[in-house]
Amino acid sequence: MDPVHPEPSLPSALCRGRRACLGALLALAVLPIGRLSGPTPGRRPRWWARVLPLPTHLRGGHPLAG
Amino acid sequence: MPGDVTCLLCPRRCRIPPGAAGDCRVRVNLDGRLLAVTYGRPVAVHVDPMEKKPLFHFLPGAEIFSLATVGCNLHCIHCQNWEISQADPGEHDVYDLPPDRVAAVAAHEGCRAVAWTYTEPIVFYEYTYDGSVACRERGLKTVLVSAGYANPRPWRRLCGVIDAAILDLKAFSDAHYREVCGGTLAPVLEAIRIAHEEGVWIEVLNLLVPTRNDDPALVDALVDWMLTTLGPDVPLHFTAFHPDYRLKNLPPTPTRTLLAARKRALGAGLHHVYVGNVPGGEAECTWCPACHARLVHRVGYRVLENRLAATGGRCPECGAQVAGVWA
Ligand code: SF4
Ligand SMILES: [Zn+2]
Repeated sequence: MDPVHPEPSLPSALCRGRRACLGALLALAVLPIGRLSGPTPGRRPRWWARVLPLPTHLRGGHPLAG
Repeated sequence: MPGDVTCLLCPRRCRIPPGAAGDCRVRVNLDGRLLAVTYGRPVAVHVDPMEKKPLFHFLPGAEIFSLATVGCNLHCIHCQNWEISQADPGEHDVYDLPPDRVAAVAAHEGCRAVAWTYTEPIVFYEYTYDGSVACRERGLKTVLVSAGYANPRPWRRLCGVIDAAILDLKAFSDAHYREVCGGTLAPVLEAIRIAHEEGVWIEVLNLLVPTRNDDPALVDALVDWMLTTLGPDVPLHFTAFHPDYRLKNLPPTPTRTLLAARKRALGAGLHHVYVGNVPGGEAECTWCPACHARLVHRVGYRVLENRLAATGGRCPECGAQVAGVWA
């Protein structure tokens, strides 16, 4: 199914061309204010997180709802 | 603007400029291509009891492999999982768990089902879809825990690979959706209706927030809609609010409020109405809608007795069929 997860090597592609970054910042700056949350204007998120091995013990004792 | 992409997955229909993300933070325009950047990268992976979802009429007592990536397309000010639902993709460490590995690990752990839960599986739609296909190929059941804020087309397609869903109906009030969750009511009602129509086993959850959505008139409207649209057999769960995230100035929901709501819903004609967080009470057991015998005895997340497992859902006392998936 498309879109799929891109390869983790992609972060370098993220900053390809400063124009795109600038465009994104400008677009974020003019987004309507007053909504409850969503991406923070002016702050560029990191798309790729550090990947850890899956824990061996998956049962019990976590506080997440659902 | 040239290069923008529009995401059609949920009613927000975000128009996303190059290099930016949609409102859910995890669907990104990379070089003109819309990418779900948390695909195969869950932030939370646990084995839970089915009753924690809470699904009460679907394989009672089974263990369910539960996972989520970061991201949500609603922004409830009382979200209990806000650390991961309202996060950017790079903010937390994640696991590498592509769809076929989800199925393999879930089977290895002895789970009978897999739940896409904790945050909002709609925003990591491709992962949810592909993972559900992989799980079904291994004979595992698939479960969604969702607020149902999706557009009809992708939602219907997703329903085709889902066996059961607990759908969070936050209040029968558009104002509540707008003020508390940053969404709207109508798409959620439509999503619940579609899931039911598509043959997904559904249960509805309504979290009662003191002074915000605990007005008996709102509960009555929600119950009326359920009766008219879904019939009397879809279970309804009332759950308690706890002060969290950006809504800390309200007290937890009193048990009496939850029990009163349950009484009203049963009185109106729903067959199965549950209350969370009252361990050992009758409000967390399943009762025969015909003869009122106790059929599933629960205490907290534990199932002490399930009299429907061996009978395919027939009440052993009177023979009435109880809606659900029991074994
Ligand atoms: S799923 Fe995310 S990106 Fe797509 S429309 Fe909804 S909030 Fe926007
Ligand atoms: Zn009976």
